[in-house]
Amino acid sequence: MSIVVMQEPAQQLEVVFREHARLVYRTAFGVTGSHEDADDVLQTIFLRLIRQEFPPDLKNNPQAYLYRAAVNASLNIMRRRHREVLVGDAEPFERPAPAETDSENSELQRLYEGIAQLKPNAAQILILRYMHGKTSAEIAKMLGRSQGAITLMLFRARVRLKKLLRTNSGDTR
Amino acid sequence: MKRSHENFEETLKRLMTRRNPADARMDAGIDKAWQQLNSESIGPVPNASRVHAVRSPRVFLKIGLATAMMIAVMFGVVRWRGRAPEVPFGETIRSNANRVLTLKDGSAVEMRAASELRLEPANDGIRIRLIVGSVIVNAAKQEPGRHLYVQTKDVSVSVVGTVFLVGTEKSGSHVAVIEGEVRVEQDGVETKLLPGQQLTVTTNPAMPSPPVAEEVGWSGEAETHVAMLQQAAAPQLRPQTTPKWEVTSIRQCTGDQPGNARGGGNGGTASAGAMGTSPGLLRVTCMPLKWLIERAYVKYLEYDMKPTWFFPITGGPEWIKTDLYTIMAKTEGLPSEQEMRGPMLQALLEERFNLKMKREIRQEPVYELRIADGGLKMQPLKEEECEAREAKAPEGETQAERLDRMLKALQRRPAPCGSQMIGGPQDGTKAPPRTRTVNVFGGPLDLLTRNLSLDRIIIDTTGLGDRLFDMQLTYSIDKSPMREPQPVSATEPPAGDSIFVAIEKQLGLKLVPLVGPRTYYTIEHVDRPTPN
Repeated sequence: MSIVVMQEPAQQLEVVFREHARLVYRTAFGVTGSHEDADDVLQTIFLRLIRQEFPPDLKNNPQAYLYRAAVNASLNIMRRRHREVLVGDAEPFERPAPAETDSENSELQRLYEGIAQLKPNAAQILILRYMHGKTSAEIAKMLGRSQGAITLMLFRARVRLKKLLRTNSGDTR
Repeated sequence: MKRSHENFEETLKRLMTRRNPADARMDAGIDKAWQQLNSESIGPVPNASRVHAVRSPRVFLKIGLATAMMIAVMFGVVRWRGRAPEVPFGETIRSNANRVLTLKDGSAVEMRAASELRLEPANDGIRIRLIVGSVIVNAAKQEPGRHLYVQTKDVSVSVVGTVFLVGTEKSGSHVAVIEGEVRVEQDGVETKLLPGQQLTVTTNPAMPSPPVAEEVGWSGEAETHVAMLQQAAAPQLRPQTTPKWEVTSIRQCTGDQPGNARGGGNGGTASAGAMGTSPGLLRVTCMPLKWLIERAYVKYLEYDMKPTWFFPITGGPEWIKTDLYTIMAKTEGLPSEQEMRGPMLQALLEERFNLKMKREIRQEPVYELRIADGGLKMQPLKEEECEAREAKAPEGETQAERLDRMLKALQRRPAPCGSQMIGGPQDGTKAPPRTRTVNVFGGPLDLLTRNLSLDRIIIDTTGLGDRLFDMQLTYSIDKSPMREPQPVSATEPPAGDSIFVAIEKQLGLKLVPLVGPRTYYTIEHVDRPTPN
């Protein structure tokens, strides 16, 4: 549903928050696997909005703007985690990373680290499709692109991601 | 990562739907964020102790309707939720008077007096089996993959929109849409209904079919429903709070011709027949008014990005196509490019040209694209094939080198995914004269159908929207119903198959003529521009 543009910025923000907080939270939790990280992503995104003027993209399509912000912020967290694991002497994150002994959680960790290496558009489309179950038509409508373009981008994103995952795991077949 | 029986897509689905935040913890996180925002002095907030994101029913109509709809729908949802407890599955509900039920998914069902229904679980959601009488359903937004159905003995209605009415009696069933969009299936045929539209299935031709506004008269929310219907009939085409122009200048352009590229580019010096924007400024050079209407209304409102001819612009005098205008407009503040090219341009045209536009849905002949009875005759591409076709970009490539590489890639066969070529076959064969060939390399069906140039729009119901195919389709322009009449040849006789035969023979698809909805933009009034 589109944003209702009201007189007061505070009221505008409330409407936006009520409409889209869950999408932002679910996306952040789905990527990071951590409630604390999801809390942070949600607060950071909306605090940034109240400290600055609403960007035009937010007014035109708040759902798409906030979703992109959620994906970018969540993938940044994954990139930071990955760097901290690689740099052996770094202090561990305060927040618990997914347990290494749980094989599906480490699969997810590797998957999202791979997604974090894709271009932002590709990452956003993949997450909309496979985490949120949106069809190509719904994704096209949300992101303001044609369905044909989304279909092609999804295809290419899957191919690229598969290659990245193989490279990251050292499998060069 | 992959299980032995799984392909990559299945793996992604399995993994990426695994994490679902616990509702209580998510709600606590959302509340905490809200408290944080509140403490940053955004002003007092009602009910700050518990803030949940509102379940927003999906709407079909655009931003201009948001105010009325949100008030109407939220009013409906809040009020109806206050009335009745949830209803369990399997229980037959009879109403002696109008009553409202709340479903497990939050949808509200208003039953007319002397109606009877039963709730059943469906594989992917909830089914309301209406045995007799009428219901008005105010559907909650469905989770991905979940659906709400209303079924009578004659039809099955699946919810894409929000508010609709279903009635059934011995001689037939009736479905009408108040707001949103529903799909009605009857004997395997699916029809999409939009606000104000209705469908009656009956063995009795005398079964009445009054206007939708009359049909909802029994409802406790009749006023709200009628207001929604009125909004749907005369939709606002832009938001009420559109930024304003500070100064506008329009002059007629003489001696220049509109360019082939129908408007594009940003800033700088716009070429003839072009539209450009820079911060706070809109510049149009030698464009006919019809093109401006197309950009301001059709392109802005029809966000699913179909070609603009999908949405005909009718009405208006001949000069809107022939007279060219140059427009310079400066804004107050710094609105976005989309605002300037959309709602602000609408406001400018309405003020300076006295333009009055109407957007309406008409039922008209369309083609439905289906898979032919003999099955599809093409295989979807495997994932790796598109990647293999992409020419790799070398390090340090310049812009000119990149362009050259892409042009060379288009000449290779098969061409990169997403390429399309129209003319003759690209597989080395020779097509008969007076035929047209559409070639698509690694593209979705949408790329094929938008290039067929037939006399009706094509609605794809194959369910193959997400697959990519290599397609080559050759058909006779004389035997096919083309959008533009084809000049008759004195020397070459008609050859080749009609589009209907060719598409089935060559691709395993079928075009079925039907009646379906199409959006029109009608010019109700227009004058030459007022003086600057």
